[in-house]
Amino acid sequence: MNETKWVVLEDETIAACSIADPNNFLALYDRYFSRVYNYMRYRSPDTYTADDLTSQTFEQALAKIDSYNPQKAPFAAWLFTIARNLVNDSLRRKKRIEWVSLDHVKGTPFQSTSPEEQAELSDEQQRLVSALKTLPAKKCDLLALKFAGEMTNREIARITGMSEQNVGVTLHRSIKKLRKRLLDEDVNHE
Amino acid sequence: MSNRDLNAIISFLFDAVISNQEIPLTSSLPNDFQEDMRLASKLHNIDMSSESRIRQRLRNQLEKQIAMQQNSDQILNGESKTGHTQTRHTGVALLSFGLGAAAVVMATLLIFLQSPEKTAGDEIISEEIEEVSPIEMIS
Repeated sequence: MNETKWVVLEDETIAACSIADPNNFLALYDRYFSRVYNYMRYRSPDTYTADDLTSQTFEQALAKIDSYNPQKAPFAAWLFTIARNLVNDSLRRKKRIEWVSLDHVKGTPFQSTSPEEQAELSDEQQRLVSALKTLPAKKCDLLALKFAGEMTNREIARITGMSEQNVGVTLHRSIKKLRKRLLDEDVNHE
Repeated sequence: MSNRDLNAIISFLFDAVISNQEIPLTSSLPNDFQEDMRLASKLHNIDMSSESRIRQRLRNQLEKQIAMQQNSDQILNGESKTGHTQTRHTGVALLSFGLGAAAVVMATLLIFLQSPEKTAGDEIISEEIEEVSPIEMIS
């Protein structure tokens, strides 16, 4: 009896094939959509921005696929570099035009989640996402790359320009800080 | 255990979380670590993409973008083929022109070389004719 052997192609191979035939890019889209989308949701202030930035990431990746070199970087690192640049630019632009009242910030420890997030996530998950967004941008970025982007410390180091060891240490500190924020909030509620 | 060892362990455990492996949360790990790992696991398990409205819409959009890209590539390839044919035609025309010009030069040279040499008598006659002025002829 003939057994069908399935070969799982590496992302880099598919990316290289996408240069010759862009239709192969759709396979990468299916593999990476969740990771990129979750990363954007962790880092964006609202669902609409996350939707928009996710679309821009894949559109740019498709447009620039000719310039991707598998020997230089893993595909995940290349794709998340595009995603990260887009979200950083967007946050920078937003910071420039947005004025937030300090009284308002003082009154609410965590940024409230959007109605869409409230509908999708459990209370605990909502708290977690909200708490994550209150962390300093660098810490939030690392946690999002790690747990939404599912990237190794080496890949994160390549994207951020930090050393691999520094990534590990900062990630651990960020998790500790996030846990502390959640605990503090629990105390405040009580 | 040194800080470096602890960081190596936590990095290993975080990698286990993101690759959905079973995490050996044994009592040998400090309680603080176990709490960190639980939080990391919760963070990783939040999936906001399953209900996303844009997943299919964006896929369709990318398919259209790919189709447009392929169409424009085909048009460009067609143009470059036409360009190649035009270049070939220009080359042939230039070659023909060159050959034609060379043939004309050769023919002129041949005519010049084959023309009969003037005799001494002819030269004297022509000189004599030139010397006679019209007034003289009338008189």
